[in-house]
Amino acid sequence: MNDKDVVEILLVEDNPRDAELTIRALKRHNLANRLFHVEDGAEALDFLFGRGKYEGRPTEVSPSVVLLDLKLPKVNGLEVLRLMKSDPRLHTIPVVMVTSSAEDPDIKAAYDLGANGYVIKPVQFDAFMEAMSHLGVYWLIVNHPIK
Amino acid sequence: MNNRPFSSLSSPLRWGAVKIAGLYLLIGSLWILFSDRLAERIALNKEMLASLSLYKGWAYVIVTAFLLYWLIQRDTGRLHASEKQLQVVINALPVLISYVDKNRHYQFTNEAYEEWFGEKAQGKRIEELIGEATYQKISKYVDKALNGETVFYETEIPYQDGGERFVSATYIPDIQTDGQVRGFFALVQDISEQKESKEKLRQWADAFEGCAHGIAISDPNTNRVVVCNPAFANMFKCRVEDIVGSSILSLYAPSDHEHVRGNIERADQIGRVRYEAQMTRRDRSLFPVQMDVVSVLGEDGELLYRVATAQDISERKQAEEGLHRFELLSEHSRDIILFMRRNNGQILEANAAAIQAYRYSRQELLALTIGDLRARDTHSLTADQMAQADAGGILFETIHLRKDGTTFPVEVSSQGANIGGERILISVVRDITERKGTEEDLRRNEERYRYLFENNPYPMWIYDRKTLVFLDVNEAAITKYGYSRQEFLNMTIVNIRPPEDVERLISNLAQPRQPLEQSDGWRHRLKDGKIIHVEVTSHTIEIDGHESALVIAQDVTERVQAQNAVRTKDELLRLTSEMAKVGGWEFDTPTLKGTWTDEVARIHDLDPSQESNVEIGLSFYIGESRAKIEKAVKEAIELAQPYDLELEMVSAKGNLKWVRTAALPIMNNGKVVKVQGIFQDITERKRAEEALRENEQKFSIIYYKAPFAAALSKLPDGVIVDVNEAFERVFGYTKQEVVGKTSLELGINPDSERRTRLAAELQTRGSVRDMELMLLTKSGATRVFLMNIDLVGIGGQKYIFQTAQDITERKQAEEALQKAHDELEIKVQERTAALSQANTLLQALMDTMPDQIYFKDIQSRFIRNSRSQASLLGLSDPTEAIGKTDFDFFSHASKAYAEEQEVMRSGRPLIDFEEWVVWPDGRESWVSTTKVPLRNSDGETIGIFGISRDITERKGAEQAIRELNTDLENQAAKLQIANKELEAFSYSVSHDLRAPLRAIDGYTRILVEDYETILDAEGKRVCSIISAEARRMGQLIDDLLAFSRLGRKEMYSSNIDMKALVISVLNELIKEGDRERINFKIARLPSARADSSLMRQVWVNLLSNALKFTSKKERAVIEVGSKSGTEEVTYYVRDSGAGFDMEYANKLFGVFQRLHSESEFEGTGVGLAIVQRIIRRHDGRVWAEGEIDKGATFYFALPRKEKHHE
Repeated sequence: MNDKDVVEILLVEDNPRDAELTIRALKRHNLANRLFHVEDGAEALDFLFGRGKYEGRPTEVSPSVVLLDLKLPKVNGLEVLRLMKSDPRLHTIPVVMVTSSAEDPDIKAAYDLGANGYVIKPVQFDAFMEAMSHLGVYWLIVNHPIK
Repeated sequence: MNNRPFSSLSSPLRWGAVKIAGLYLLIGSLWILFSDRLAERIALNKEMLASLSLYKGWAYVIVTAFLLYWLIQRDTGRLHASEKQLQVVINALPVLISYVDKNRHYQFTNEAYEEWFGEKAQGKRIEELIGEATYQKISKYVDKALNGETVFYETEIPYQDGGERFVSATYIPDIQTDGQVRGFFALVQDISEQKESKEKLRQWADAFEGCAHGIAISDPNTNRVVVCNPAFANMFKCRVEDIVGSSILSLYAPSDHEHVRGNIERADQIGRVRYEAQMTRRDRSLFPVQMDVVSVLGEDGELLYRVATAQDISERKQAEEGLHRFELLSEHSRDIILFMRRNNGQILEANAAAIQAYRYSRQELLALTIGDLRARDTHSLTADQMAQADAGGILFETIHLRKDGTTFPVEVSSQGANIGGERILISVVRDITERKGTEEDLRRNEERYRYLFENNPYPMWIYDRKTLVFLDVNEAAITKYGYSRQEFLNMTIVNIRPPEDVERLISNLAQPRQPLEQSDGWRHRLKDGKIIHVEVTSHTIEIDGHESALVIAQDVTERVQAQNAVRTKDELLRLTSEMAKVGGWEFDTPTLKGTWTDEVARIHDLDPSQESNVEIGLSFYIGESRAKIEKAVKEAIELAQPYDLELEMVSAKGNLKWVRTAALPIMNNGKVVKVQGIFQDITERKRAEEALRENEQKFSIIYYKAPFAAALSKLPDGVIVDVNEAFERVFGYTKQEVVGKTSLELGINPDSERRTRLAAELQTRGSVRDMELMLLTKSGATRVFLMNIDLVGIGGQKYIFQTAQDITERKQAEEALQKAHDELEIKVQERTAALSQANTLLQALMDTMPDQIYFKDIQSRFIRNSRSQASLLGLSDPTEAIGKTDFDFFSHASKAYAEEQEVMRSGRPLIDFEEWVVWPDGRESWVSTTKVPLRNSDGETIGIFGISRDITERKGAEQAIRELNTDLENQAAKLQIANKELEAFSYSVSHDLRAPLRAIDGYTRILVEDYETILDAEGKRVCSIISAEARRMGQLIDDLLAFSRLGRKEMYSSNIDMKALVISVLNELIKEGDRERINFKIARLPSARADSSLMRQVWVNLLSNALKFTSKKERAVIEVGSKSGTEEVTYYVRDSGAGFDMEYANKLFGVFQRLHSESEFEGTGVGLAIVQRIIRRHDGRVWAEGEIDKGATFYFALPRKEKHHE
């Protein structure tokens, strides 16, 4: 499933269940082929910058969208967002916060840092699936990325 | 102009022809010379030569022909060109150019002709074009031209607009070589404008030359005359040429140069100026002129030239001079001088004398006519007199009228004259009042004499001296003598004499007569024969040319007799005077010399032996006495009047004496021959008299003028003899009313008892001093008098002399004063009482108030203290503090003292000043002091008022409060921290709890989807349950989160339209089927003041509950209403749904408390808890009522006043 070369979706999610469900939803729409999953913020950054574990990854080809959870081990979601958006190479990548937090301060902070979207993970499975597939469809098919 | 105007054009032509000929010759010659040779050279054989020659010839011809053609073409072209140019020029010129043939037809006309006449002229005859009339004018010129003369003239010819214009015409005859005139060229030019200008210029020049005023134009740059007109030159008695070029100033008298220069400058500045100056002629004579100078500016404002207009005003000046002199004359003349219009008599001029005489102002006079100045009854004569004056002059008397209506006789001399082109009458009017008066007087005198004559009591007559015939007699004569007038007129004066006296008369008459003669000793005889002695006075008068005499005859018969008697008495007198030491004197009247007795001389302090005469005698008298005696002596001498005078004289030794002199004139023959008299020194007597008179006067004045009423009454009857002015004034009686009456009668003193006392006192003491008495005046008013009475004796008779001083006013004043004094006393007592009361109150106030009150003076010394103050100071009695200062009680009183001084000085009070005070007894406390400056009624600061309060307790309380506040703040801070912690907690709860739920639900789904084939129905059911439960838990978490958030959330109150809110919520909650199934009754709801979002939550929860619990009923009612109370407003939601058991009502609002199972009605049981929490936060309360299956009503009440926490 993981194609290191061309990654369209970078999923940064520490909860494996949520991750699995998200992948499943995207699979339904055939959007999961080029999905890469990392489980913490640091790894996400390593991947994006092509360093550490992912040294040598061709960074010029960036993901079409990054699905970023807020609560992450090591480096949390907001920090990852900040670093991404302040880096000239990475700031054009669309970042959608996908989190269960509906707290206003979080939403504001994310947008302040330049998040392209903020989606609250519904508790209900159906709704969750729907939200994820909407996301995928939009960011991969509907939205025209920078090339 | 040439005779052949086009000859200039033919020259180039000729020159061209010559050129062509020349060229032709040249080419021909050359050809001839060389062509053959050339042909030979070229020809190869003879035939060729022949043909060459043939061709050569033809070639020559052709070439030449071409050459000719080309040359001619070129020249004609040039010719055409120059002709064209000529055409253009001819047509362009504004001049009429034409060629007329000898038949007077226009052979050629330029375009100007068309413009001028409006028609083509070519081919027409002259008169056809310009008209018969004009042709007549010019035909002679045409003839001349056709005769070969060049003609030049000016005339008027018609223009196409019908008018005529001035033109100048030139005809040049076209003479052929044989001398024949073929025609002529005509050039006609419109000179109408020129003519006009010329005409105008001519007019101006005429005006300039002919102007009566002198005009000179000067160049402002050189200041010399550029041009002047003859009139200007004439003023200087020289020619125009002599003036032109002279400098302007040289024309003026040197004395005026400054003046003129200044005026010229002004002219340059303001444009024009007028001034007068003296100009000088060649011969140095001067003449005055009035100059108007105009400075003419060019287009760009520079001075072009000056135009000066001069007017010789010598005559005017002379006239002014003459007028001025005349005015002086007329003003100083004492006679009235009037100028008036001949035709209507209007006064044009009047001199000062006129103003004075007629008493009109100058303005008024000039508005009158002569008629207004004449007395009304003279008006009829006025017109005639004026005509005479105008004709040759007139002198007449008349009466003139003044402004005030009085008249005065005048003599008028009036004459006509021409002044200023009008016929004027000049009148000199002289006031002849005096003269007339004199005449009048004379007339009146005559009348008087007539009157006197007729009415004289003495017989008077006039007789003719010559004839002695009576001419006139008066009534008295008729009466006395017994003859009638007629009889008298037939008699002579002889007839009235006794026969024996006639001789004497005649001889007397023969003597020369004096104008006035007086003689006595005549006897007349009356008609009845009675003889009377007469004294005759005779005036010589002239009547109608006759010498006559006016005679007064006085019957002195008795006197004569008396005189005789006197004579004897005379002797007696002389003797008596000798004996009585009364001086006697006498003098002869003719000589005025006399004698006097020794006594008289002694009185005069003269030596008795000295001679005396009347003059000497008179010389001793002075002033009035002198006048008196002289008069008396004169009368005695002339009129035989005796006198008896008391006179003042100064003796020879200079002693002032009073003398009595009495005289008796002695008559003889009707004349006074001597005067005898007595002389007595009456100085003593006079002095005594005078002293007496003086005293009398003094007394009289004192008595009469005294301010006190005084009355003199006789004893014993008390009849009033006299009262003074004051008496009259005070009592209101006149002297006449009281004199002769008694005071009793008059009722002056009504009090009989007093009267008796008065009388008694008078008797015993002889006088009454300062007795107050009330007396009545005539009007009945009672007045108070201070009486003083005395007994006096005058001339042997006893009198009572009373004076009464009116002290009524004084008494009244005294009474008023006493009353005022008494009133004042009462007032003072009242005031004192009030003051002492106020004082007591103040002290009571000061003593009862717990605050320390004190009054200090300007030096901060205590004036007054309250008890509390005193005790604090350690004194038992407040009065002990008086006079002491703070320094006497406090160790560091300087600060307070300085404060007080500042307060008193600045006038600004110190209010509620808190300070720590150490009292004399060692106690310490906080004190709040107020110090206010004390001011008197004038606003001056006289001290200070202080009040201080012990505020130690208050201070303590304040401190406690401060500490409490600090605690509270700490508490609040702690609370704040707790809240924050709670918030963080809620956040993480929501976030962390949700994720697992999601996983549960999700994985269950995966299970179902992926393992659908091997899951049976039961398996699927179990999975769905798992999912449902996960969902439910999520709901619980949300509700819990919401519930906790409620407590923290900030509340913003606003006015909420509750009904609108309810309807909005219902619209959201109601589903399709609900509307038909449920009957919604929503009443009018009062608005509430609360947090709108929280309130919405309340309604959402209550209404969704109502909907939920009626969902199972086929028909239901949901009602929303309110109840207004005094303290709170209650809202309710009533449903007819499932209801609940009231026994468990208290559980309703608990968290997670449900009274129905999940299978009956879903829900988490938080809704009502939320409602309760919200309402509680609004300081309200919630409760509910219900009945199973019947329905439930949920109430919440909000307080009326806003009391919720912010």
